[in-house]
Amino acid sequence: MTEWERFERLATLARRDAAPRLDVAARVLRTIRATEAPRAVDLPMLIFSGVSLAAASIGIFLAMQAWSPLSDSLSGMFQWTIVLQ
Amino acid sequence: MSELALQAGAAGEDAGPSGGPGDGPDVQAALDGDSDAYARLIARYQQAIGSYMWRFTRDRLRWEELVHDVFVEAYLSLRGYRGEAPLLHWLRKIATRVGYRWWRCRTRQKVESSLELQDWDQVAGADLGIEAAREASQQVHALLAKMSARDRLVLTLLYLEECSVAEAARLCGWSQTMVKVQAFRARKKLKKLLERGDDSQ
Repeated sequence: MTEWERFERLATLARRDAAPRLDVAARVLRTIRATEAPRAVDLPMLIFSGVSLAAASIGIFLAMQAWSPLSDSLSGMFQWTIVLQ
Repeated sequence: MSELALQAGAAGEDAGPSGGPGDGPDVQAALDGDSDAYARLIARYQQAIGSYMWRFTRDRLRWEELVHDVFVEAYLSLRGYRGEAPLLHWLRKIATRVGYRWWRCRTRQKVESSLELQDWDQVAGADLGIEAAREASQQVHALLAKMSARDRLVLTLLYLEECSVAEAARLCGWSQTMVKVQAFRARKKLKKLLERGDDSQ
């Protein structure tokens, strides 16, 4: 008998090996509940993020408005420097 | 989805051991958030999936973990189940992915180590009782553990699960040609491994 034939015989025998009994239902459901729990918290977080984003946008807009005259006055100063030179 | 799920249920009834009766309504109910329905699906298929995952590991704790992972993954992708095949076929596909992923994560054992298959003839030729089957299974498992995950997967499906090339291709998500090529290479490597093991004795 070749090595391969012996392997095939062994594989045939191994197919008869039955797995033990198991019950994973409770554990699976616990994991599923745990993974789904953060989803419920997601909605308020999403609303909060949206409000924060809107507030930040207004802040940036006002800052831009304030920056323009500031940058203009600086450029004016640089122009004076050039004239003085 | 409900129509498809119902078709799945019908297919399950027709398919006999491949699918259980009432899969469709339970799938639909599970999608609607009914955990009892999913528990029923788990109870219906956990033994079949458990037997399948037994090919991937002999470590009982790891085995239970793998079966658990299969059902969690199945739940998370349940919306993707189109009901075209019995639920068990779909679960086995996920199980193949989970098992293969686990094999890939594991450190490959050294091929150089002795095979410990001295008693092949005694084991294979002895009585066909549960103990002999268990021992044979352990030996085959130890032998295949010395191979790469791909080789191991294709040999497990073809020789332990007795899948056809088409079935193996479906479970692995490979083409049939790919399965044939992979099986050819794996057989060649295994023969070499067996000869080496034989020489070392």
